[in-house]
Amino acid sequence: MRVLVHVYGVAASSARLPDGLTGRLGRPVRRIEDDALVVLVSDVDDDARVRREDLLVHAHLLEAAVAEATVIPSRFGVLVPDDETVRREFLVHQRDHLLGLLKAFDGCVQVTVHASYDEEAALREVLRRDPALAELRTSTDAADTAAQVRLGEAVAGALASLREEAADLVLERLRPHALAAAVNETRGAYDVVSVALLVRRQERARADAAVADLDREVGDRMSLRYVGPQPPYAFLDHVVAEERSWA
Amino acid sequence: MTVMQQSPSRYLDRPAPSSLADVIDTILDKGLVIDIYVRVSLVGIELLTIDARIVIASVDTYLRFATAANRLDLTETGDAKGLPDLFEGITESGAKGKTSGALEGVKEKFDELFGGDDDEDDEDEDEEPQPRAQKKTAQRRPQKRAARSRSQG
Repeated sequence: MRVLVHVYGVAASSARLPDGLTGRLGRPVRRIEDDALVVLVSDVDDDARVRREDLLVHAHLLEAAVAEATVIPSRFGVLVPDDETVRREFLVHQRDHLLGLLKAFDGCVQVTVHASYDEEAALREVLRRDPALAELRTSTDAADTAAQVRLGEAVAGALASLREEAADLVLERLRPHALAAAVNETRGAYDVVSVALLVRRQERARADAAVADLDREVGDRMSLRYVGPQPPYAFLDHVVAEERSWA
Repeated sequence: MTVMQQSPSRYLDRPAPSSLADVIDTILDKGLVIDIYVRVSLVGIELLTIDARIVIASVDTYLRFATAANRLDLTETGDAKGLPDLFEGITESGAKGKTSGALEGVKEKFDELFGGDDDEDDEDEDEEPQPRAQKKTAQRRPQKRAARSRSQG
């Protein structure tokens, strides 16, 4: 059975990273490094299935690392044949690119806020706002499926407006406290917004306070989740073309 | 409105580690890639991703919205008075006057018709054990167990 190398991410070789990290399948995380860069990897079997736990290991390992140092995360699933290839591709071919990214994100972490409307609060609100919709609800025949679909469609439309408005509010409250903000895709009917914030590690308390304030402001109708600190997943593309610094 | 149980030391004071739902949207979608080595087509991931995708614009979903809206009992909970004034200048009328008896009838009918289609996020069986997440909405019909947040799975 072949053994492949799973790549978690890249940091400056001078960076202080946590010791004794454990990777997928409980195997130790190894460092492949030169004078400037270190690639964090661990071995996986060629035919290893991906389990939920593997995804979490990848994410949590990077979160542990980014708590202490700037890390450029790999997407999950970057598997390289051997150490020599890691060395060649990351430390040689991608060297300048990676050094540029590390410089651009120096001292930065990502935190992510997910806001979702509580179902009941959302439905109550759209019915309260729109008397015509409330009337439609009252008058629609429960046994008439087509009419119920029309009612549902009207509710869905009203919910979409409500979500949009709520998303604007959330972004307005959080954006000023971040170097940059990136909105992630959301899918759920009651998902308001998922926004990644790039913040300086040392100024994270400001973002924390903004999220706590927002939670107090909207907590009666929305649920917030606050995730991080993470490596700057959502912002990598922003600096590919130009070696931009957030400073 | 009724005061909510919101302790001062909630987890939102600090960010928390990623949950599975979070990683699907981050590490599978974003991050450094060196294309020739990516082998994400691994068993398991597809299922996870499909789990997370909810198609909003479908007949099924519309029926769910209708059902959810029909379930609301605006009378018993005091209607708009129970809601915070989220947005100013909105009329508070128009949704009153339904009887809970009529609503229960509707609900039962819909559970009968569509109950089988409900996924795990919907509440349609009262004998189900514990709610997964405490809703913060303070006012609800007493005989209903707490609804669960849809997007926290």
